[in-house]
Amino acid sequence: MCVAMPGRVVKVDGTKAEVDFSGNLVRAEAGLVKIKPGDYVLVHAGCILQVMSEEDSNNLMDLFKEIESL
Amino acid sequence: MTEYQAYLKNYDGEPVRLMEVCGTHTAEISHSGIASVLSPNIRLISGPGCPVCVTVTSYIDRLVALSLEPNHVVVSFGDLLRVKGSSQSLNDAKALGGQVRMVYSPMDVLKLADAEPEQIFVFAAVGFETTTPVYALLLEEAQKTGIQNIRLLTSLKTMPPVIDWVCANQGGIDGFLAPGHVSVITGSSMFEPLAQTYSIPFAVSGFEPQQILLSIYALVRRRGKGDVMNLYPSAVTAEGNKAAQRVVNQYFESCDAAWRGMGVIAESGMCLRAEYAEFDAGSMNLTDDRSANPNCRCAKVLTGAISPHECPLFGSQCTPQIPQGACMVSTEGSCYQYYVNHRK
Repeated sequence: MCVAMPGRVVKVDGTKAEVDFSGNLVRAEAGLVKIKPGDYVLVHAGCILQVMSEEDSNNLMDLFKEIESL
Repeated sequence: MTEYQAYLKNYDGEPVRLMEVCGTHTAEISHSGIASVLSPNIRLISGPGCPVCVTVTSYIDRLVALSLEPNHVVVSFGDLLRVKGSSQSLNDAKALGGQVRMVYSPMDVLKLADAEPEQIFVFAAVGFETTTPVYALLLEEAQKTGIQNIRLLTSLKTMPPVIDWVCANQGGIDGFLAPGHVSVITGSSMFEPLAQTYSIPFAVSGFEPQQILLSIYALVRRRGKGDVMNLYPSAVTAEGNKAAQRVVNQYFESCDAAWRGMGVIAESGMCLRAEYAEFDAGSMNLTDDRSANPNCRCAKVLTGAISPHECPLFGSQCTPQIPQGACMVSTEGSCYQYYVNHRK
């Protein structure tokens, strides 16, 4: 149930936004985050929960190195 | 094959038992076949991370009763419709003339309630920390727009107390794959007290197979250490989403909650604050839990005490077509995932 999908913000209208999921445009609540068009966001149950960071911070090799350095 | 994949495949150290406490992780692990690329000495166990599965039968019974009351409509995510209470599911209630509607977002209720002001719309508000902010936003929007015919029947849970319950009452877990999307809201630091108390590592993980594998690697490597490792940094921070935490705390407060298989766990749920009691559809004291089939072992599967294969009904009397317990109904349920993906 905690499934959340990443998508790209296309339009912002107050506390609502239009989010592009691989070509499907979906209206989402945006009251929990500060967003602008172009942001990559995580959407759960019709609500944007988080703006994903721009850089490739999930790079597995970087994370692997971090684990090794612990 | 990467270095950590090879390590996990060839690991011949002491046996390690790791628990994933997120239904979405359970689904991805099963779907991707991750268990099959691990050494036999690394065992993955599914924990109480499917909110539909941990919901007690008296809660479903209350929803069924509400759906059959005049001028009441129960609104729910699809997962919950087939889950039986002590005898009936919401789908059964619908067949008897009950009013039940399925939506994809709690926010959809606003439009329904606005269009039919003579009806009371009761949302089946189940979920963990990820979903609670959405219910809070729904109430905030209902108040702003003056829509008065929306209620919640809450069965909202929080992760740390149930993980604590598993560690204290059952033990035998060497690491936790911590729920990524719960952590988006709460922050990864939420797990630090548990990690330190039990000297067990927590890896906050994303949901891609490679991310999960790396998290498993981290947990095996850090066995016995009370570390919290954020391995999903593109979405998760240490402190979480503060705006979401604020809106949750405005409408909800911590309360005791009943869990299937574990009974009432202190301070493991979220209930509406007294000043918002007008939105409550009768959520208090829903603690009874009586499975329709007495042989169903859902309760033990949920806590990782047994594998789905050890339930006498699994795969014979209980399948996704004829589910006997919630774990076989929900697409995030352990039994459903083990069955459809032939997970061992």
